[in-house]
Amino acid sequence: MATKPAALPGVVSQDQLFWYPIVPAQLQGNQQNVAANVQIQNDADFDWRWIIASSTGLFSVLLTDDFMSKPLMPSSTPINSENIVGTAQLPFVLPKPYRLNRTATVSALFNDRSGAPNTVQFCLVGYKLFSQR
Amino acid sequence: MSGSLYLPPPEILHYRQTASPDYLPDQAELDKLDPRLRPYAFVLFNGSIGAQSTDRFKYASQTEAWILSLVASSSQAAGFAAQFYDTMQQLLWEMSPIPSTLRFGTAQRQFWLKTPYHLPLGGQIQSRIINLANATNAIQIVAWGLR
Repeated sequence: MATKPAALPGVVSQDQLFWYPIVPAQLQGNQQNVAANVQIQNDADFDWRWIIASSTGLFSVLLTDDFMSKPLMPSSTPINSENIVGTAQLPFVLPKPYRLNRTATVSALFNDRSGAPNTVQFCLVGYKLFSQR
Repeated sequence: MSGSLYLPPPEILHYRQTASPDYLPDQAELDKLDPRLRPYAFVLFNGSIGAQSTDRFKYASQTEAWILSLVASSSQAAGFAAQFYDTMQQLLWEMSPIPSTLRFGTAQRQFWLKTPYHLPLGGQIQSRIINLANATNAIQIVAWGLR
């Protein structure tokens, strides 16, 4: 008999697992402050739980929740990719789920640390909270 | 109320499976914290250190904060050793500098603290970092937590 999955705190069945990608233009070698952002869709608030990214080289990033004007890190110190992003197999787990309001924008400034062209795809992963509309 | 069918609960670490609660912060401790607290990356050290050299850094907390996990990166495989001192609480975190492989995780496998570490407003974490490599080493130490 199939067992029912354990209830996930704060998430109910109609909530939807969702990826919000932030995709900057390809970073050139040692290029600094390449801006990119993503806007949360208007259909539901977003419960951000994990960070997953891929890149062709090392990078650092500075993230800001523009809606709340809250940075997630010191504005003077971008966080190295090794310290902020995971993979699909081993995602980076936020210390606590971060609620992003619908239409909120998360902006990112990327810096290349590889010295060569760097293609970065940076994903905010979590749940669209349809149950709380 | 049923759970999501898409992923295991977040308190399960994929690489720890059912032993996850042994490694993650105690949920009862987390529940005591102010729900308005938001995730934040506290940078305890960021810089390059010459071969076999030592550097010091001071992180000053501008708000009340809690540290939940420690991660670090190093550009040299030999890594580094670190020792921290909390000036306000007069707490030394290690008896002597500890090699980075024994002290920190990475974003993929964070070193979780079982109990949130309180950093009061105006608190300072001083660090002494020793480069263990025979070349310049770019080191970043980040404490993930809430503020």
